[in-house]
Amino acid sequence: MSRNSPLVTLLAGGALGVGLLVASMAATPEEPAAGDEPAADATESPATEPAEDLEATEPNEPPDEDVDEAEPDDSPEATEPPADAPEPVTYVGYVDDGTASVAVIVDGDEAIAYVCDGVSREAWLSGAAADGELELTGDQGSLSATYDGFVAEGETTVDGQTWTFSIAQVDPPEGLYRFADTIAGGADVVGGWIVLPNGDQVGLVNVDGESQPADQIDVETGQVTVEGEVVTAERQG
Amino acid sequence: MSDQTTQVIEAERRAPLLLVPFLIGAAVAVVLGVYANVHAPTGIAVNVAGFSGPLEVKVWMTSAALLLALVQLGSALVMYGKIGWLGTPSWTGAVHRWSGRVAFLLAIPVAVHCLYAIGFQTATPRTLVHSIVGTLFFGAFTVKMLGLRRDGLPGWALPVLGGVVFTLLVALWWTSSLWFFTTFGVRF
Repeated sequence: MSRNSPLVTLLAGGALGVGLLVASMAATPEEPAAGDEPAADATESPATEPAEDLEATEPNEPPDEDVDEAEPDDSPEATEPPADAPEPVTYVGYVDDGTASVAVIVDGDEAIAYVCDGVSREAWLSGAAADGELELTGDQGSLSATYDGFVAEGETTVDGQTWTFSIAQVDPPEGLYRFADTIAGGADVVGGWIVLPNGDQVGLVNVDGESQPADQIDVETGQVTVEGEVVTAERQG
Repeated sequence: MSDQTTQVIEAERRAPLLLVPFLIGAAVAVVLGVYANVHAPTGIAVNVAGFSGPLEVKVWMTSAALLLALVQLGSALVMYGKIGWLGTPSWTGAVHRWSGRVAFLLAIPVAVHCLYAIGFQTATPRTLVHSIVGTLFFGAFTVKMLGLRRDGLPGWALPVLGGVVFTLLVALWWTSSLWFFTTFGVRF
């Protein structure tokens, strides 16, 4: 072994890294959504919430470090929402006491949410989102929260039951799935499924006004059996 | 092996040779960590054909690197004569070097994707550990490589450095690939 070969190894690795970094920068479109690979699955770990301490929120910010401005340990509330993010941002997670799940999807200045305990309580909510805060309402309840592109925190009330929650941004296949249509038997069906980072699903199917436990959906295809019929739930957002 | 007293004295005398490699390695780890923290995650990076997505690519590249790291461990044990019945075949060193090089090169694209598309993640214990270990891994690897170029290191230096690098890689794999396989199943 020549004395320099470890150095060559290091430098080759470094060069490869820099090359890939440059290629990645070149491959990053002006609008991330326009990339030929879905931004969605670029996240290494769907359970991963992008760090709440990232100050830079503009997707097109040059990737070089502004070290002097950086305060990596800055508190989460210092971040501003990536409101100009072209893609809807989905947050899902359990409520703080673990008895229900929440999904929030922020799309520009609008947001929807689905809260579900998987047993009997569920609520579809919608409303406005701005400046990192959202207020959502629906027939069955309400939800107010703050969000920063990485985490959404707040409280929700469904059928008189109030939960607090702190939920994280996720990427497909996690997220909120919904099916709403009249199925072959003539029943009006609205089904919601929250697919959590650990693979758990919390969902309910409302058939002709009655909420009932839901079968699990196939997250690959969105297919699920409702009242004996196979239907396809759409991932929201 | 020489007697223990001699070893200790040698260690005391020669360990400072690792200072410069250690400082450089520390700088590598810090720079990676700072970049990962400061750079806005893009959610996008170059991809590899043949896999369903960047996640799968990374999971399998990391797993391949881990497999090679096991070769590293085995070949190192052979080189140090720890596997007695095998002796030390002449090609052991070459196996060790090339498995290491390939493992390192496999880890690079994975790390670039992590750094560029995702960044330093603190929200869950898994991602926090993964982020920290990821930066440490490349720092430790740098120390190991630069340490190789130093004559007169104490005998424990390379095994310890190699062991640290190996352990960090196992931790990286554990907090990414193994997590992925157990969460989503084994898929390509």
